[in-house]
Amino acid sequence: MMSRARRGGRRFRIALAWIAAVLWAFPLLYMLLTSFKAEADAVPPSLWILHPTLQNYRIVLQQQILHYLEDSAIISVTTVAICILVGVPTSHIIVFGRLKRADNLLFWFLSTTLLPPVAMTIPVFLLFRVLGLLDALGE
Amino acid sequence: MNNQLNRRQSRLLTLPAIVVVAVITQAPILVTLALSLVQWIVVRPDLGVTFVGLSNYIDILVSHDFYAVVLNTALITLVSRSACTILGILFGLMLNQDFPGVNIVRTLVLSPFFVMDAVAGIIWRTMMLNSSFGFNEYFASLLGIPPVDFFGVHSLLTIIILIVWQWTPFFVLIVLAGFQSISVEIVDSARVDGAGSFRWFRRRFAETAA
Repeated sequence: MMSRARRGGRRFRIALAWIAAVLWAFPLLYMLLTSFKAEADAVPPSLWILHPTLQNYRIVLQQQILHYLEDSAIISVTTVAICILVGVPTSHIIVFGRLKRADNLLFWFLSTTLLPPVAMTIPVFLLFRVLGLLDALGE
Repeated sequence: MNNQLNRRQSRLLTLPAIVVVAVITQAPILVTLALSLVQWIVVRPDLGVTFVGLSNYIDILVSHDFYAVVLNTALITLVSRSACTILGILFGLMLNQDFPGVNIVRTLVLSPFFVMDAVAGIIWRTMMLNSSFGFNEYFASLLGIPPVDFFGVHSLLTIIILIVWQWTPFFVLIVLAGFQSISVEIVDSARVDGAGSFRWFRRRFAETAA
């Protein structure tokens, strides 16, 4: 059986976790809240929705959103599929296989993510232009 | 064990990943290195591309901005990574208990990690830190002080805040995964041995790190 002090400590820890989590996600929760507000009510900040509306969602849905979502879906599904296909055998070998210098190989893979993507945009753009891959999504 | 792959098969299985990563990451680096030796103003195609040797490097090394950028980068990296580590461990400890709604709490903490950079930037710029209609102004008027100038004087701080907000969840994920991989027996035996919370944490942490 838990003592009273211990139970109190547990309650305190749970409350602390909830408060910290809500505060951490607050910008996102507030974004969600604001999405139901009328445009005039967005400022100043307030946790109360005066005139609940779905108008903002209506506007977004009228803007070819399905087309953009389709692009995103194509890119993310293909990327993840290729990553899994190529990555899973290698990670299995690195962990369970009898490979000499498996750590070096792992470090080499990880080190390629150290370079910020922005540094690669121009060369990647040029390579894609040479290969004729620009604007080629979904063709 | 008999079902272990031999060395040749192992090498064969790692080959696709090595080839893909080499082509995808190493080819653009080689192109970058080649480009670093030429003078090419992309918005002025009429000027053409001319070979200039190492003069691009010299231009960077003698400019004063370069050292300010390096200093800022070092500062941002140091401060944000330290804050992420500390907060990540604290959140990880907090989320490692079992209580009603723990999954909701975990999702809330992890959610900033799944938000696009651009969206995070817009949220923080317009709704949180904006000095005329964000929460910045709201709290400032509540306390009767002028709002903090997050985008002028304190822009470095703003960048650090955003990095910490977005990347702490990643640290939480790693810490939490480490904690959860420690078996219940070890925790129980530590309890029986009379380890208090701090010693328990230290021991778990040492194991997670190992």
